[in-house]
Amino acid sequence: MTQPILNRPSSLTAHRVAPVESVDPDLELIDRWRDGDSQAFEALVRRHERRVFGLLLRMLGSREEAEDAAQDTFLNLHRHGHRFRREARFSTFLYRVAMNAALNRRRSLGRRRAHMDALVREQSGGSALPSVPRGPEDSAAGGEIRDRVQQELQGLPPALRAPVVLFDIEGLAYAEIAEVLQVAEGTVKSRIHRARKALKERLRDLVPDEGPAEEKEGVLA
Amino acid sequence: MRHASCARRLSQYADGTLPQEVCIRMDAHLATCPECRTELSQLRSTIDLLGSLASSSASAGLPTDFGEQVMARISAGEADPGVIGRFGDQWRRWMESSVGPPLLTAAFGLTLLVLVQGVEVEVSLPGFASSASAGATSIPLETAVSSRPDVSPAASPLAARRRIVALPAMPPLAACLRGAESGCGRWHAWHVGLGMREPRVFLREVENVPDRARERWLDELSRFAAHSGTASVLAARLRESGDPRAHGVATHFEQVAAIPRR
Repeated sequence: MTQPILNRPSSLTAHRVAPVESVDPDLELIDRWRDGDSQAFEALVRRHERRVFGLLLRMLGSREEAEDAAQDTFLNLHRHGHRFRREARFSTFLYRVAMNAALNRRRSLGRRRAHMDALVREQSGGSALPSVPRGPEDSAAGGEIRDRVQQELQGLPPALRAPVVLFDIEGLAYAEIAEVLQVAEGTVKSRIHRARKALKERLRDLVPDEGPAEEKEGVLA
Repeated sequence: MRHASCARRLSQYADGTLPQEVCIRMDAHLATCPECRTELSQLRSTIDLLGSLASSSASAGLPTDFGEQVMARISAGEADPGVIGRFGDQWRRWMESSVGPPLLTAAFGLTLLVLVQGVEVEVSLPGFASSASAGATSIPLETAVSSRPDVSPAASPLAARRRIVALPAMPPLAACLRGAESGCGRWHAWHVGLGMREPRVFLREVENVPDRARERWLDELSRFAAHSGTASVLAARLRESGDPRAHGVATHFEQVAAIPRR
């Protein structure tokens, strides 16, 4: 059977295609917490705090905002944790709580703050960056590029930013993202595509105009 | 495969999430379409750039005592649901139970039925029942038995099979005090009942009637009481109350009651 010539999943995304069916490692802690063991809840916080903080940092773009939103996330989890059903993984449920906290915090920033953010982004925008290297891995300025990508990510509307963060950065599968964002799986796919296209335009100076030479050869061979 | 169809699926193609037969058709298109190849290549570069954020230590800025801070806030009661939250949780639990949704559906259906079909109105006038229990002659009420005007038999077969008892709207009391003639009989019945049951309250009502309207209104009320045979009983109840205002009003009722019926 013919193999797809260009179907080369990115090394960063290949592991996300299908969710691994396994026993949720958090269930035991959740049961203990529901039985009144507060240490079990603290253990849940410690287990997930870094991933939640990382997600919120990507969504909000500021460490202070992300830390506050992460605290809100765990407070909300403590408040509404009994709504968790075992139909989905606990981490998916937690992501949903975190995403709501991010969106609520985003709203509370208000128009003025958003306007200020836009001005700051504009002033330090990437279009003025001098000859940036073509790939993050072969550059000593990888941190600078990551900052730039993070900055452009913040320029996306939350509805597009959330799925692309969850898929390309957090590594969730389409179905899990649909569960987190409470939208259809098809919507997730199209939003990811739109978000990538928008980012591609914003990061034009970092994205090569032509594909790698070996790929072209492969197709044309 | 058409160009638009291929371009729409390039992200999923790059992720390797498309079925193999779709990939084969896309391969065929990509082999002949430099535009799609460039687009695919740029999308992959974008994905790699995004992926560089995944490998960065995003959580490096998280305080080491983050967990303690969260637990301290929980201990301080900041995670308590509050009144609205508790009510919301109870409501949610009730709706998720086996009895909640059927009961709610039944209540909704019943409400709808009442709104569409109408309802039998049972009217009790304050003081009227007690007047009967006090041995007074019962006052005939002008209750009308009619269909609701807004529900025609054609529009509602259910309503057509059912007689709906409804009272016509009462005129405002102020209109009766101004001398309106139609529909004031029930206000008179209501006041007679009040006098029988609560003489002092009735006398206060009489006092509250504007001076210019009081005498005419008392005349009409007295004639109503005389026609219904309650004037003498009402006068006696007023006197029994011992209220200093009772004498004049009771006398008025007695005088009018002495007028022979036409």
